[in-house]
Amino acid sequence: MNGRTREASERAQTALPALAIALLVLTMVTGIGLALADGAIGAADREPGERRVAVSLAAGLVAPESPLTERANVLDEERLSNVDQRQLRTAFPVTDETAVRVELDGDPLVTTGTPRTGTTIRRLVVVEGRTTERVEPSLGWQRRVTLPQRGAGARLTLVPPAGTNVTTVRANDRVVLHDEDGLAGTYEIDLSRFETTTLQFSASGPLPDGSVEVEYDALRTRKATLAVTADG
Amino acid sequence: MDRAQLPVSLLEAALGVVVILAVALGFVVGVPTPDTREPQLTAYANDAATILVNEPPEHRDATRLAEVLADERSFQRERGELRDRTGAILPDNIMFRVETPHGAVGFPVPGGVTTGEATVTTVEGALTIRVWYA
Repeated sequence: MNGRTREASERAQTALPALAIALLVLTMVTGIGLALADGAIGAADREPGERRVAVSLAAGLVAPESPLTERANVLDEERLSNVDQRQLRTAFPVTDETAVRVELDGDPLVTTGTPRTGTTIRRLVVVEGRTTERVEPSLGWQRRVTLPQRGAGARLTLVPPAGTNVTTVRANDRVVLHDEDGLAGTYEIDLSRFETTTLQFSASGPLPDGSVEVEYDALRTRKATLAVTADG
Repeated sequence: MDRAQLPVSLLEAALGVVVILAVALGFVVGVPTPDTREPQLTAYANDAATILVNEPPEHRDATRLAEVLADERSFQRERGELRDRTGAILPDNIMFRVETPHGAVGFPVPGGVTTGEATVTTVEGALTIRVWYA
């Protein structure tokens, strides 16, 4: 400060209180500035670690190779009910160090640790459930039956009356079962998931009601939101 | 000039205050808020695209999308259903636009919003989904 260097001036003393005031003001402003800086740095802490865990865990859970999914973004209802903490920790070791909560449509699915706040990432999924449906079709003159739903496979039980030989079963004109000596009993057949299946039976005699029974896996799907919260 | 000392000292202090406040202002204004909405929007777009592209068809072809995008006529016929289906998959607070080789369904993308985007390929061409918060 200039005041101090001008000791020759008789008015220099008057600068001293002004200097003190100036220093005081500067110190106060510096303090306020530091507090602002501290607040800004505190507010800038976005916990990138937990965000990364939430994003990648959510992505891993809906990926095709996840323990929950059937295909990408399609969760299997059966596996959902079996999922537990141990399984989650084995599949995603990151959940050992971070408290995470996985929710499906708001219902907690599995939790590790005790997450309180944290970052949440939501993924859209389809939950697929399987039920086994049975049909006992009465075959018309064309001996065809169209399954009402698509599925990956079906179980066919053939009980032809005496004197009737069921030789061939076709699914959409593709031969799935064939035996010249006659088919009887229960057979597993593979079907296409991508088209509606029509089964056609070739037999040497009449096929009354009850001689054919089809069990197939019916897929029921519903839309859901998978929320992954990571804390810490 | 005899009386110059007092104002100079205070003037310096005032200058110092201005300098310090300028630096502090940098802390207050200069920390940009990271846009944390974008990863979530991208995740929504990716999920919607994955779900759409894997849906079974209603009439023919391998998937529902291939059926809708098969040609101009089928697209014109099914565009309403495609819009409803996409809207049903996405959460209620999300707006969307689906761009296909035959045209687009959904809402026009407003300027200056954060959007998430995902593109999937089908046998009939690429399909792009853009989503943003309503």
